[in-house]
Amino acid sequence: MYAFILLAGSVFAQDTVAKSQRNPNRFRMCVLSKIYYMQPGSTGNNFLSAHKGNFGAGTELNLFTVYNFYFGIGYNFSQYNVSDASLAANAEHTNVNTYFAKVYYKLPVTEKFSINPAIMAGQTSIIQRTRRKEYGDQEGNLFGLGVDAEYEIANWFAIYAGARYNWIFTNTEAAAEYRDYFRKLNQFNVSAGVRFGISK
Amino acid sequence: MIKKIFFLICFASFLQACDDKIYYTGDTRILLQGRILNQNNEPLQGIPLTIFIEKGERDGWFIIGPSLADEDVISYTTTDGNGYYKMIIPKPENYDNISMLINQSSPAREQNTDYSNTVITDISISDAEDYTLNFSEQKLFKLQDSVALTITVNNVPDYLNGNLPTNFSGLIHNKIITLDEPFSYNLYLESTTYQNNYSTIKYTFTVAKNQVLAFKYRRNASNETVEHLITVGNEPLNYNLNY
Repeated sequence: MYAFILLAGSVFAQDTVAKSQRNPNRFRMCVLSKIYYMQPGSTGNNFLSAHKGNFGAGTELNLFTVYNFYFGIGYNFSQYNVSDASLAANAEHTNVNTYFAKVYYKLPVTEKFSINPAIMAGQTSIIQRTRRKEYGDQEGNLFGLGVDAEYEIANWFAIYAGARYNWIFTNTEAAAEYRDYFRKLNQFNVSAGVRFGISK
Repeated sequence: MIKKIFFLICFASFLQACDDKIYYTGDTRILLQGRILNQNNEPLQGIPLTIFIEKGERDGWFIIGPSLADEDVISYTTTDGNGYYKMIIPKPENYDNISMLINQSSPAREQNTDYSNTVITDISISDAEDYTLNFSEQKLFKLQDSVALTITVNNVPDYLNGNLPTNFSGLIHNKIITLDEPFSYNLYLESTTYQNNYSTIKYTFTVAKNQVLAFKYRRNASNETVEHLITVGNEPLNYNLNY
């Protein structure tokens, strides 16, 4: 289904973009698909900082643009290894799944190179597990800021690298002294990937 | 028809086996904390602690052999410079027993063989207040300051079959503390021997020198508790009593 949307959108986008060149600021549909590798991390003193980032990946789909703002949705998966079993329990992995809506602004530096600051919001599911079993999950909301540096290799293909800082707020119940430790989490992720589709 | 019954039995057995899993509620976290001291009330640093959760085997007449059991080392740590420890675990569900192993080897650190060890068992999550279980202070002692203690209980009634509900308190090596049921007759199996067709029960312990141990047992018929205070000096001690 996702592949179909990508394909159909890409075809549609080429036609739409060609017309929109008359007024690049006009609202128009587009389909830009991003796929990236992500190195997850965390800062400060919270549940995720009792872990070491293992690996992550993500995908995003931008659906329309206006005045160089791009609107889309995305999914990130990041896996952490437990480094302090006294605080994070003796699970091998903690997997953070995030589903978010994202807006970024394309700031052209040269014809091919751009800086793209972004803001995102969504929902998070944090699941602890070993190969054998799960150790429960925590649900929460996410708010994030980030910036990508994008270099366009062809009209339909670009490479990019970026960094994101996410605030995650859960409803986890814990002793008073550890409530914020489990409720106010953060992620600092760096990513690199490719973008398909036409954005001009 | 036989084939259907066979698959029905297999399916029911599968469901029964699934029920023997421990589950966790990730959005509720329980803090377990306390302090470890030596016999002179000085904090002990670097003592390993482990939280062990188990779901026991069931006899299951419905399937061949016992159904699967489940167990987890859900958390471990070591005491800090002041002897304090803290562990936070996701709230377990569908468990039979939670134990804390004090000074037994954990994934983080080997047992400190200079000191005694203790197990606190029958820990109940429902006893937590503000998602916290406090274990206050537990004492370990240096094994070089230990002696052998043998307690012999004579004239134990035949109908007990050696199942004498007992409770030991004091500085004991391999000590077991039960939180919910203070009297138990099978905690110290490795330290227990039986003679004269279970009418004589002998408990052998390694205990700290120069202390007063309390040995209690409960008479099944009257539910009366009998307590013996045993003074241990510098030499091995054989303590005899009649039921």
